[in-house]
Order: sequence, then C-alpha cells, then structure tokens
Amino acid sequence: MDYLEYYGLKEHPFSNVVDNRFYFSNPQHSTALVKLKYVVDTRKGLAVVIGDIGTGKTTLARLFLEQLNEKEYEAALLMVVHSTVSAEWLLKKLAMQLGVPDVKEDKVELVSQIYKRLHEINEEGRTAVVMLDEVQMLSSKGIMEEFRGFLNMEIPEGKLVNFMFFGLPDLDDVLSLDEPLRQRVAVKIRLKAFSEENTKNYIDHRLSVAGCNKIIFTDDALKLIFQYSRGVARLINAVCDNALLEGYLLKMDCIDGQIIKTVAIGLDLDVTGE
Amino acid sequence: MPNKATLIKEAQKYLAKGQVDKAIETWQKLIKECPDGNTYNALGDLYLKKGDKKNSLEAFHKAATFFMNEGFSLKALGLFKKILNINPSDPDALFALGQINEERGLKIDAIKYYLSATDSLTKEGQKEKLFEIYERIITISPSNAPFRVKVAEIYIKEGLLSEAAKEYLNVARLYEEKEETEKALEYYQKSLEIQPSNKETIAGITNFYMRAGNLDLAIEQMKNAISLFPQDTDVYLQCAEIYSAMERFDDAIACLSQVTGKDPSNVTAARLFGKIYIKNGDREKAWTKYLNVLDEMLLDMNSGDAIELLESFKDIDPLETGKRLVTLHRQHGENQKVAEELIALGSIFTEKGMQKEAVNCYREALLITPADDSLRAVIANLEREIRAAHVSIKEDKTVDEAIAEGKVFLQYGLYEDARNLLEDLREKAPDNIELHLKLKSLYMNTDNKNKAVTECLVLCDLYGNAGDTEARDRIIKEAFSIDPEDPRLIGMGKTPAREETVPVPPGEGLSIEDYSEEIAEADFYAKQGLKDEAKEILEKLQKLFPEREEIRQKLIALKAAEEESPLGAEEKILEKEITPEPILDSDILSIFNEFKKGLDTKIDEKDHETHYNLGLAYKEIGLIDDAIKEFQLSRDNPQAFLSSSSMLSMCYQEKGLYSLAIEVLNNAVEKMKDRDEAFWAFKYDLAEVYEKNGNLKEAFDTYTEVYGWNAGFRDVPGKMKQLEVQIQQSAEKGKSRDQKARISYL
Repeated sequence: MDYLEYYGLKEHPFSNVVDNRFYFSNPQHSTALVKLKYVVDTRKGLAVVIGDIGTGKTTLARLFLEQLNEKEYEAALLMVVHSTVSAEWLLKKLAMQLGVPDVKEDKVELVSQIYKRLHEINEEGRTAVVMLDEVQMLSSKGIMEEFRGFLNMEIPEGKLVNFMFFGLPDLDDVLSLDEPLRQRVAVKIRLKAFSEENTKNYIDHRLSVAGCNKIIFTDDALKLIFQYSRGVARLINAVCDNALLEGYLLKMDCIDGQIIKTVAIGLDLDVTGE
Repeated sequence: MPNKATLIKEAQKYLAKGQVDKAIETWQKLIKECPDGNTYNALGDLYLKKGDKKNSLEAFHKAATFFMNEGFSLKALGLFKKILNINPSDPDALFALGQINEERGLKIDAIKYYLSATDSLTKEGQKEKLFEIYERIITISPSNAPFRVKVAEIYIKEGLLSEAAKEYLNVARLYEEKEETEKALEYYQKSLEIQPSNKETIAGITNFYMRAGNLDLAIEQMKNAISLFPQDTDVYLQCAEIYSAMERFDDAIACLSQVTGKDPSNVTAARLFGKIYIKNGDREKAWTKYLNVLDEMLLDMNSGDAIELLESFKDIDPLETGKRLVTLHRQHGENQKVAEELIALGSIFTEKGMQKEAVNCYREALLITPADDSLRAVIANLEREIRAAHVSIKEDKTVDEAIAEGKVFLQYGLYEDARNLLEDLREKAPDNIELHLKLKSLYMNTDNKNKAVTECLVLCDLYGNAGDTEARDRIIKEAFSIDPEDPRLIGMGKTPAREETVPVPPGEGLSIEDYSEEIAEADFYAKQGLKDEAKEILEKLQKLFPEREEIRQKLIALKAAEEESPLGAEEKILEKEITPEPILDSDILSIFNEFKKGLDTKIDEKDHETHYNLGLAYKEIGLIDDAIKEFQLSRDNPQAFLSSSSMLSMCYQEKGLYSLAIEVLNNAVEKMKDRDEAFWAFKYDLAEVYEKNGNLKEAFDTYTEVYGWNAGFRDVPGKMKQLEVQIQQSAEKGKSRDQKARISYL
C-alpha cells in the first residue's frame, strides 16, 4: 500500500510519465497548440518549441500528436534518446515511421523511398508531420542539412513534409549549425515555467484527475512548492509526489509547508531563498 | 536517538523511494537499538535487494540464530532455507537443518543435511567442525560401515591415528556381526596396523580368532597383549579362557592366579577356576573356588544354570547349596521343591544338632504341605527335644548373633523363623536400632504395612534420641512411602514428592494467601510449558478454594494455551514438518543411500495441518514460493481447504500471479455450499483480485453481487464507484491506443 488509498486517489497524480489525461490546459500551452496546428495545416514546413527542463515540451508534443487524426495526417513522433544518431539512421527511422516498405540501406535509395512515400501521403489527401523531441541532442550539421533537404521538397500547397522540433534552449545553437535551416523556421514557441497561480491550478488539476476532490495541500504548502520548483512542472510533480508519500508515512491528512520543506531538502532543491 | 517507530518509518520511506542504501543504513541503526530475528531478516532482504549476497547471508544467519534461541524453530527453518536459496552449500545452514531434523527424529533428512554440510566444510577446509559432524552422523546411524571407513580414512589423513584405529575396529565389529569374516579380519588388521598397542583391537581380533576356532592365533595375540599390559586382569582372563579352551589347564591356572593375585574377589576368575577344576575332576576344589563368589555368580547366571550348578555340588556342600536352592525355587514359585529342600535342610540341621534351625525349616515346609502329618510329627518331636533340653536361643546367643541369624533367615526367605527370633529379641533389646531395622524389613517383606510403619515410628524415636536427624527424616519418608494414609503419620511432615507438587489441604483458618507459593509454582510451570504440572496444582487448589475466581481464570488460560499455544503448534510441526532438500554430490549421495537402508521414512506428505502451519511460517518470512508449495498441499484436506485457498490466493497475489489467485478463489467459491459471510468475503476478495488483474468488468460485477447481499459490506460502494470511473477511462484509452504506435525512439 502506498499513499493512494490514504488520500483517496485512484492513481498517482504526480507521475512524471507523460499521460495526456493529466494534461493541464493553460494559456501558454493552448496558444502553442494553435500555432503548431497552423504550421501543419498551412504546410509551413518547420516549427520549433523551446523550453527549459520540465516546462512541458514532451507533454505538448504528445498532446499535439493526439490531435492529429490518422485520416488527415501521417504523423510521427521521434524521441531522440542519445546524441550519436547518424544521418543514415535518422533517415531509416524516418522512412519506417512514414510507412516506407522494404527500407533500403543505401542513403540515396532511402531518400528516394522517403520522397516517393511523401508523395503517396500527399496523394492520399493527407499531410505528413514529423515531430522530434530533444532535438538539441542532434548537434550535427549533417543532420540539419538532411532536414533542410526534405524542406526543399515542395508541392503547390506548400511543403511536402512538416517538421516540429522540440528541445531545450540549446536547440537555438543546433539550428545555427545550418543557417539556411534556421531561416526556414516558420514558428518558434518558447515555453516558460508556471506562475504561482498556474502552479496551484496545475496541482489542483492533477489531483482532481487522480480522483481527489478534497484539499490536500495547504496554502502555505502550495506557496513553497512554487518557490522550490520555480514553477517547473517536473519539479512540481517530484515535490508533490514525495510530499504525499511523506504525509502518508506521517499519517497527515493535509500536507503543510513543513513537509514540503523536508521533501525539497531531500530532493536537493534550493530552499535558501525563503 | 530516534525511537524504533521513527526509524522504521524512515527506512520505509527510503525503500519506497528506491533508496536501498539509505534504507539499509537506517535499518542498521534500528538493529543497534533493538536487535531481533525480524529486523535481521528485513536487513537481509534489503541487502538481497541490493544484490549484496555476503551481507544478506550474514543478516539471515543472525536472524536464524535469534529465532533458534527463542525457540521459533519454524522461522529458523525458513531462514536457513532462505540462506540455502542464496548459497546452496552454506555449511552452517546445512548443519543447522541437520540438527533440526535430528531433533525431530527424521534421521534420513538429518543425515542428508549433515553429509551436505561435510561436503561443504571439506571444500572450505574447515576440518574441526567436520569431525564433529562425522560423530553426529555416526551417532545417528552407528551401523553404516562404509561411512565409518570413510571417516577412518579422513582421520588417517589428519594424523588422528587413535581415532582411525577406533573406527576401523568398529567397522570390523560391524562386519563380524554380519558374519562377513573376511572383511571383519581385514579391518581388525587395519586397526592393529595403525595402532598395534590398542587393547580393544587386540581383544577384538583375539575374540575373532577364538570364534573362528583359531586358538593358536588367538593365544599369540594374547601373549602380545600380556607383554603390552602386564597389569591388566582382563587380558589374563581372556588368555586363561583360551588356554582352558585349548585344555592347557596349567597355563590357564597360571593366568588366573595372576588375576586373583591382583583382584581376589574376581568372579570371572573364580568361575573359570571352578570350570578348570571340574574339567580336571577336582570338584571339591572347584566348589571352594565357587563358594567365595557363589552369590555373585548365581546373580549373573540364569536360574536354570544356577539350580543346575547348585544341584551338581549338593553332595559336596548340602547346607550351602540347599539354602540357596530354597531361595531360587521360592523365586520361581516352585513350592513343592521349596518344601523338599526345606525338609532336606531340616535333616541336615538335625544331624548337625541344630534342632531349632531344623524345626524352623520343617515349619516352613509344613506351611506349604499342611497335610503332611509325618512332618508335623517330626516337628513335634524336635520341639519336645528342644524343650527338654531347656535350651534357649535367647540365652545362648548374644543379641548381635541372634540378629545376624535373623538376617540369614530373611535372606533365605525363612520369614517365620526370622519373625520368631526377632520378635523375641525385641523384649530383650528394645532400643536396638539394628533389630528394629530387621523387623521393619521383615514386615515389609511379609506385606504387613501396619507393623512396618510401627517399626519406622520406633526407629524415628530412637534416631531422634540419638540426635541423628538425618536418619530420622529418612525413616519418616520411608514410613510415608510404605503407607501414606497411616493416620499415625499425620503431623509428621510431608513426603518429599508432595512437598513439590501437592498443596496441603487447608486447615482451620488457612486462606488462599497461605498457598501463594503453590500458585507461584503453578505459574512457573505454566511459563515453562509444563502445563500438566501447572494444571494439577491449580485443580487441587480449586477444589480447596472453589470460590476463587483467579484460580478459575488461570485454569481457563492454561486450557486455552494448551489448545492454541503457538509454541505447542510449533513443537507439533517440528515432529513432522518438511524441510528443504539439500543438493548432494554423487559420492555423497552413494553414502547417503547406505544410510537410507533400514532407517525411518519421511513424514506423511498428506499431513495437511503441518503443511498449512509451515506455509504460514514461510509466508511470514517472505519465502512465498515455499509457502505456495505448502498451501497447495494443505488445500487437499477438506477441513483446511478454505483457509489454505485464502492463503494461497494471497501468496499468488504477492507474486503478481493474479490469474492463479482468481482460479483459486473461484474454485473455493464454487465449493462453498452456504451463502454465509465467509462466502461473501471470498467473493469480495475475488473482486479485488479481478481489479488488480485489470479485469475491471468482472471486478465490477462481483462487487455488485456482494453489494446485492450487503451494501454495507467492507467498502463495496466505494469500490464500485471507483471501478465505474476506471472502466470509462479504460474505454477512452482504448480509442487512443493506435496513436501510440506513432511514437518511436531514435
């Protein structure tokens, strides 16, 4: 047994695993979604979403993916998990995600296959959308040039494929590796941390989705959560999850500021600015 | 210093966060504060979680030791099993399991574990403990010759020649018992080679040669033995026997003279002397030798041989043989023969002018053959002669002489004579303690308790007057032992046995407070587990004080403890429980198979109660697989079916095997005829497992059934509400499932 039963929760409200059911609709993210949709529907080619750690980039990417129905969009989300990705491997993966059959090893043949597939998608009346998360890890001029190559593929309505890059502020530097590519960015969105008010609403929202309708965090606690997390969603989750566990172990019906402080120290967060 | 509860919380917190190192650190603090089996067990689990087998084993060993010392053998058993799961060749665990099985009388299992332990110890080079285990194995199964040979060989390797010789000797004896003479001789010789001066071996091999009829070789061994042990009478005796068997009587007599020179009262030597003289035709000499040790000899012999011996010397010494024949025939209830011997003795006494003794013999005989008028006439004649001669034994003999004579009468069962003599003396020497002791013996032998107690009381006074309190107390105890109900003994103190266990009946004005010692004693017995003893005292007190509630309560508690005592249950299990199987190497296995021959078998696999209790113990210490195995076995018993099913389902759940838990619970529910609360509790459990297994609809339906029976049962409404939400969300999830395939990783 963990804290779920104790606090009357059906599931863990502050898991850092992306789960769209917990998506917290806030003005910043809503605006970003509209802008991304605009880029895709007008076939602008390239959109970039930059934000600090834990500001909700991946959440936004997944949510956007959900919004793109399969009838109208051939959409894929590629999550970059290491920085040694080669241009060949990227192309192969891209081909596979777009549904290219019998993917070839030879780069020239591969590019040709992708081009052919993109045309097919277009002829099906659908739009190709490729989203890449953690693009700052692809710090390679060669890879950026490959993207630029695809963005050169055009039809009268616009680009044959749309790329959505999500990444940390370093993504700006990566884009600078290929100036022509940087100049092709149609929309650039910068995500910021939550305000104190949004932090409070975010916590309430997640607790509500997890099945809790009562007040668990005191005002004092909420204030400190914002202070220690600086409104970064991932840190808010970590603090709240640990605070609920601590509260359960101490059999506390409400989580107060003292528990938040204890937890924050345990997580090595900066508590000196009180 | 934080208290126990705080430390546990802290450790749980770290564990919940996956910070195993910090949890271990905290748990170690806890152990410093309150070390016990459970905390060490938990620490072992933590180390295991971390992959640190070394520290895990150490903690488990400590836990097992705690449990063993506290008498929780089942838990200890479980811990050793955990240890073997980590290290199947852990010698300490194997040894401990051997001990537990040995205590339970399961010899095969004990040997199996001991052998495995020896195997491990050999590999680790721990020789000291190795020998201890060998000794244990030999004690359990002393007749396993191949194992003893192996042990002997190891002793030789270690330079322990004396021990090796002893083992070879034992092996030789075992083979000799089995009549495998060649092997027996081989091991006798091996033993002798290792230790030529081992007296036991020399004796063994000599006996072997004797039994084989090879007397020359036997005598050669004995000559060697005499040179090695010139002061040893046993050696000379054995040598004399061989010479006698070889009919070298002079050599035999020379050996026997050596024996009697060192030990004049040596019965064996006297008998052998007798035998030799008889063989030489000198019966008188033989009888002279026998007479010195005749009574000891008769005691050693069976009655037939004793009678035969006495009969064979009757012509040489009719008086001594006759007296002893009376006793022997009397012991066997051969009254006619007793009478005949008594009459014969009477004649001898008459011939010797001992009319009084003769009369006594005749009187005794007359008691057996009262219709013998001729005997009656003989007695009458003799009595007339005695009266005419005005001979008074009392006047002729001193008191000491008379008592000595009475002793002889007593010794040969001539009780009437003894009584006449000793009772007459009582007037002459009323304060003679020896006389009263003889009278007491007389009355005890003739089952006259009243008079025996009287003598005790007289002796009590005499000892008291002499200031010998120890003897006085002893004689009072004896009086109680003769007749504890004798009213003359009231107020003379309690018997020692009763002092310890039986409360004295309350006299006038005595209250329960006067029995505080008895109550304390009962409490002590109860605590020590001696429930019968405690119950006996309390029941007696209850009879004395039926109105006392505290005694009634103590008795109830005692009876309840008898029925439910976990220790009791544990002990019961210990007699029968199943233990984990050690892995035996092939050569060890062959030795083990030798042990199996003729030893007891394992416990009945169908002992359901044992399996159930063992399952509980295993589950408690986290051995879920083993617990499952036990509950699967105990479930076969209809009486334990439901409880075992419930436990089995819990174990399956702990392992995440929800489908099996569902199957077990469904099976139980199907077999339950009554729709009582137990049935619905099973249903509720089933719904919970469905829920855990993700069978949301089945869970919801089952909860609904329970709700239909009792809407307030446990948290049925809450569960149903929760499930409704989950089912809805699950449906939504299903819709978006396809989209997730659109995500991949670079």
